[in-house]
Amino acid sequence: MNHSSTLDTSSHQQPILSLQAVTKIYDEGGSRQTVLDSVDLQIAAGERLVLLGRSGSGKSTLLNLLSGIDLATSGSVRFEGADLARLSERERTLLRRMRVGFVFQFFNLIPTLTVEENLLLPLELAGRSTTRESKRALELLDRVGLAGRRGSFPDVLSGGEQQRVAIARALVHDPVVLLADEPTGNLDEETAEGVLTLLQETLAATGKTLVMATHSRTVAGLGDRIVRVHGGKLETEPNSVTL
Amino acid sequence: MRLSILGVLLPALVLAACATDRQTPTEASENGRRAPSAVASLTAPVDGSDAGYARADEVVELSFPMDHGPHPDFQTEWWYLTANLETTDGRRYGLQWTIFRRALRPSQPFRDSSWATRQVYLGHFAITDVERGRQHSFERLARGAVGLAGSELEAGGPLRVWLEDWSLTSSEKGTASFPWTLRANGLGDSGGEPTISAEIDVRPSKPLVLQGDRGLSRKNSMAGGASYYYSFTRLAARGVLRIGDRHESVTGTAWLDREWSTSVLAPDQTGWDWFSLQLDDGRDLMVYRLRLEGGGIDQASSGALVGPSGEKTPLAVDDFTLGVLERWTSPKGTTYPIAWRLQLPKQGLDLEIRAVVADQELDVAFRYWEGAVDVTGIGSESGRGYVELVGYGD
Amino acid sequence: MTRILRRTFLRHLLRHPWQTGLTGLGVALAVSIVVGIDLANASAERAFDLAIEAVAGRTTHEVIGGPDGLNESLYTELRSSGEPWARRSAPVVEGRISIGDARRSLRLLGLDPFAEPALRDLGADVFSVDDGALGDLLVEPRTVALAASLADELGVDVGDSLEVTTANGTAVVRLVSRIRPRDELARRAARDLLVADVATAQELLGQVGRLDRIDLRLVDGEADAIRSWLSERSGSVEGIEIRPVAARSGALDQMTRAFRLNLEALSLLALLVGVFLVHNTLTFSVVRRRPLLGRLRALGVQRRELLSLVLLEGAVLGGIATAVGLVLGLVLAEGLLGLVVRTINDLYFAVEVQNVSIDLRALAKGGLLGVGGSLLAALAPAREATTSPPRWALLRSQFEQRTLRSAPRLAAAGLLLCLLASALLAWPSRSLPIAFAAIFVFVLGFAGLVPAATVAASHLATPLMGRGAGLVGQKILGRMAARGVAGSLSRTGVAMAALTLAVATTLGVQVMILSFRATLVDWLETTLQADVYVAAQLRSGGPAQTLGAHWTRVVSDLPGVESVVSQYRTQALVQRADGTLDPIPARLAATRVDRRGFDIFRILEGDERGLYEQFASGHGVLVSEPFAYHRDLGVGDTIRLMADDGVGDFPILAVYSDYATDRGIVTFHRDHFEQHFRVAGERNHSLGLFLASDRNIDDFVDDLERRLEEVHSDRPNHEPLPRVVANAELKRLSLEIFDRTFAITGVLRLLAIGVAFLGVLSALMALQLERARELGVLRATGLTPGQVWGLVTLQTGVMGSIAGLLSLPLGAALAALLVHVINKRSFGWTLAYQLPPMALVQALGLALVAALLAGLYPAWKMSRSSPALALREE
Repeated sequence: MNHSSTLDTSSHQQPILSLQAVTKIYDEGGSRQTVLDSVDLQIAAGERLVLLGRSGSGKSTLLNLLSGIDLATSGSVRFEGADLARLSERERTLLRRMRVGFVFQFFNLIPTLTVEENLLLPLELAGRSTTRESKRALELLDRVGLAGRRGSFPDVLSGGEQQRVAIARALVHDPVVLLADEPTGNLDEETAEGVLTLLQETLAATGKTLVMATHSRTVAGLGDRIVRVHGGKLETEPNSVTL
Repeated sequence: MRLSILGVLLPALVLAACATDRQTPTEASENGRRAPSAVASLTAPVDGSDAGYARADEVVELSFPMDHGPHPDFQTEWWYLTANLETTDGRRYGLQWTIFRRALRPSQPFRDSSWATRQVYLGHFAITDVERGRQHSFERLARGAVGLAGSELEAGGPLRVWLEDWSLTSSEKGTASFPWTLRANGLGDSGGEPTISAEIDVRPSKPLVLQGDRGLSRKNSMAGGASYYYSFTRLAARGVLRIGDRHESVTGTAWLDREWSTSVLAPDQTGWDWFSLQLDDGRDLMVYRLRLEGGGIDQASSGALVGPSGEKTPLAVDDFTLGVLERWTSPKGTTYPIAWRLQLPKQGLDLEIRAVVADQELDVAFRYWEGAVDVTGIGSESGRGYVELVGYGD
Repeated sequence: MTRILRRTFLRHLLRHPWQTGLTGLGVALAVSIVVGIDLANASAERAFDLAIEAVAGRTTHEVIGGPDGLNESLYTELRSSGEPWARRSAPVVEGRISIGDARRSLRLLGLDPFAEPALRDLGADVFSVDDGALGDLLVEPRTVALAASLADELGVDVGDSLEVTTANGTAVVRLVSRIRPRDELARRAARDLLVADVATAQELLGQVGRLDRIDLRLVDGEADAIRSWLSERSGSVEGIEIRPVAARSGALDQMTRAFRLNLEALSLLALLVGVFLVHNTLTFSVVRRRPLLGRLRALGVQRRELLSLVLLEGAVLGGIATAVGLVLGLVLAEGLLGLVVRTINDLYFAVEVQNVSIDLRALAKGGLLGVGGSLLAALAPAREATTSPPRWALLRSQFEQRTLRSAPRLAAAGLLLCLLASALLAWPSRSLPIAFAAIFVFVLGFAGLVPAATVAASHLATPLMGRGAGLVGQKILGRMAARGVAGSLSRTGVAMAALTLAVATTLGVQVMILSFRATLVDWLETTLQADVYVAAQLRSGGPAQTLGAHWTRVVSDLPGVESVVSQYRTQALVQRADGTLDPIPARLAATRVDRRGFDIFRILEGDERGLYEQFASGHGVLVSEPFAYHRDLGVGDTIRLMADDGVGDFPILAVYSDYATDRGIVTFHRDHFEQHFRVAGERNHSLGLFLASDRNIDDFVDDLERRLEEVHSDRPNHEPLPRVVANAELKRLSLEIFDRTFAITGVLRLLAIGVAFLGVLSALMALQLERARELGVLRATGLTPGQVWGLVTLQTGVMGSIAGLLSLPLGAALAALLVHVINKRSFGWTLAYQLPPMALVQALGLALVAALLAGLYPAWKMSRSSPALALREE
């Protein structure tokens, strides 16, 4: 595991994710909204980056851009060096399939699939639904403490349980990057704490890159670096860099 | 004489001669339309529409009894009877009974159906109830086929002229032998008009009289403007009248006119006044006056005076004068003369003729006045008669 | 505030033209079907009424005789009686007539101009003013008068000639006058009338010496007076009756009632599907506007106001669509009317209906159903719109749970309804409305079972789909597709019920028609046994022409003819038990047949031994099945018919099978028939020839045709050359008429499917919106657009398959009901039920294809939707 200790991202190691002069403008029904205004961001592999901002500040947009779900209006977004704009929709999808794990605020799980099926879905999509992989997935489920719920449907799980499964699902296919959009936004304090702890532990064990969007400073404490998203601009908080 | 009142009127009559009998005073015809004016049609000129028919254009020898029967080659024909009748207690009635025959075409193509015919029959029946001062009139119209109407006379057989349940039939024995029996019915309505029927026998009191020149009666100077015309100027009448619930045995005198022709009046003739009078001294007088547009009298107007044994004295237009003494306006708005002074200077006759009832207007397909009249003269020159006034309406 | 709200809502309709259009289209279609059929029916009905009414004028009664009519002398007698009612009488000679290429079926009325004014006013000026024309009409043969409108239509004017065909042959008539009807009623009556003098009509129709009836205008009590007068008069023994005219107009209506009722039922079914559609599309609309609704609630708009706004939207949309539907219905009615009239002409009688008469009642009914249905359908979505915004997502699953839980209850209710329907059907009755009601209840009940069945099917399908998809390594996706059907039941349930219903209806009607056709083919085999048929005409619907006796001789004399079966057809009135006359005349057939030919009668009831001998010796008559059914008569009962020699009793010897008529036939042996009925000469409508076994049929037909030509050219009269048709050809023609009759149902079925298709489409569109978030997550997880498309299509495929499978039992049951109950009660036919496997396969395929097609657009939209938008923070 390698924490980047300085702001200076010009370390010899290539950033796993980078945005250069990225602008995102939403144009709908006649009103133009500039969500991101020529921002730059470099994220090193293994870094735990927190995007801090209010609702609507553009942090979800950033996550979407980073994962290729959405395309920038201008500027370049690179994932492991590859310019996402140059990839086709399909290629970006495949990229996500293999390399990215997502945790959303809610609605993570497919309601018509069991917990186990939800967990195995990414593997199946990646074409890696072998017995060995399946076993590994169940171990992951066990690690988040919900092995006994494998046959249940999401609607009988509590919010916290759903998020735990979501996290497991996000990691099941061993992605290099984990993107989390307000993972605890829907949970009460105690449950949120539990989920965050889980997140921390799993990441500590695996050394994956995490980019997490939140509006809560408490949650933000999880990260190595805090970048404030405000007015379409990014601003790294100086004392957020953890050594 | 009765002029050819049918002319081009017949179709109009079809319209108005509805199945329900109507009585005077009447309402308008069933669909509220009036027939074109009698006069207007009469003034239609002689044209091709009567081509092909036999015409009364020369004197022929009329033979009887066969000529009592129909003459289908002529366009128009009628059997016209008027009578002044009385019950034993002196209640007086006037009666008019007419059946007209009209041919629509001069010839008939061969047809399979018995309904096909070119002859149409029209009937008028009117009774004047002098006591009540009212006249009841009825009209019928039917085709001369399938026994609905017709006229026939065969040698050795009876004369039959009929229109549905109206008929004039001669006695069974012999050819058209007298007495002839007249039958007619008129239906009452819910408005209080009574049902009327008549069954009257007539026997001639004098031999028949050939009108005009040996039966050829000229109406105007136009070619074919004439008819064959004879009259029984006096017949003894006896029979039964039923008026509503009343059953009346009546006797009296009748006058029968027979005429057939294919002719139309001249354009300038607007109408006529026709008088048939039966004087107490046994003489019968027939006089008609053709009225012209502008008020004058046509020179063709004429008449005849028939003596007690049937001797005929023809009368020309100058042989009589007729003056109007009184007029009457009908509820329909037409004004008729109802009293006259008739003078025959050569014969020394000075007669006052007066309608016994003012309202004897028939409002059938066309409007005309036909009614019983009283004659007052000096001495035995009194009498009774019938007058027909045509062309005053519209 | 409220006005702005309303405007916002209504503007939404305009901003989303496709969605609005979709909803509107569905309602418009459904309404147009209902209205179209209603109007077509009402127009036909009105035509029947007018046909009688207008010609009746002020007629109150009519004097009628047996099939040969009245002796014309009766009218003269009547007229000469001096009775008051005699003055209000008019003779009538009437017959069917066709013009030109015989497509146009008209009536010839022979009237007496002198009697007419008392009874009628057709506006025939020729009867009054124009002397020339009256003379022409009366004196000249073959002269007629036409209504101005008809004359214009036929392109003829006064003086022109027209070729007409009557039962008596062809003739050329001359137009002498135009009729100018004075009121609407007379105008309609005159539209299909040729008016002529009595004499002309008698000659044209070959009825010289006879009248069809004498019309009368009577007041109270006079009818009895006439009856006594009729019975007292001396004269020939004849069957003469006097009856009120009102009876006759009801007859035409009744005769076609069953047929029209069937059409109406079909249309109501379409409406049912349409209402489903409205529900779906309005739901879609509500779902789409969740953000707007949420914002409005946040602004403080009350629940009640939202409810009324959605209802308003439903009403406005429904109202406009209904209006469009009414107009469309008028257009549809024009098209349908042609089909309806043609069928009636083929099967029943001549009726000429040119235009759709705007029946306000039908329009009002359609309007009410359209708007009412829209409102009703808007209730559920309106209620949904009032739920609180923020937790829709979570509430969604709760909503689904609730729906799933209610499925069994719905199924129980459905089962109850089905049982109720069965009870109704088991009730011994002949009532057609009850049968239809039972079917509707049954269908509704079955629809209630659909959701529960869907859930069950979904569960069953899941492991199957999983394994299937597993073959391409996508087991979980497969399971998701299957489970998703039950998982979105609240949206898809109604659509699937609609689709099931529509497909089941198609299947049911198709199977019924197939069963019918098969029965018919079988019956034709039995009935059409002669090798060759000779008739005056082949086309039905037109004046029925007969062959003279000489043709029979010509035909029988040809070498190779072993025996001849002849048939003469007519109609007679039946006297009911209470002494009144049934206004619907019974069809009579007089047959001359030998023992061998007698086999053409397939006896259903009655002892066959000695039957032929009894029949041939005139001991009784045979009746066909519909006749026996409708009048509830059987072997041993007696029919009272008004024959030409008076009312007679005729015992029923046997009941035989018959699908050519819907009210049945009474068959006499020719000799027996002639004892009581008058036929001018040995005339026949058709001859059936049995050939010797060694005679080649085609050769014989050639010989026969040549011989007929020979004879015809020797006698060039107005009688047409008889037509010759071989057995096979005749069967083909019969089936052609059959197929044509059911062409109408094809149109309606298509429309019903269309409406269901739209329902599925809108349900899926609603789903697409609701699952946007879910789809976003899937896309984020790595589902390609192609895979999304595949997933949705797979799901619609499952839906279609389930709907298809469910439609099979329903369709088969519907067909059984149609065959055994509806057809039986409508027409009296016993049909053999046949369920061809191909039909089942087709139904399944239809459901599948409809669903898949409906799912194409939503699938495409879903695959194309940007996950980013879905995943953006709220």
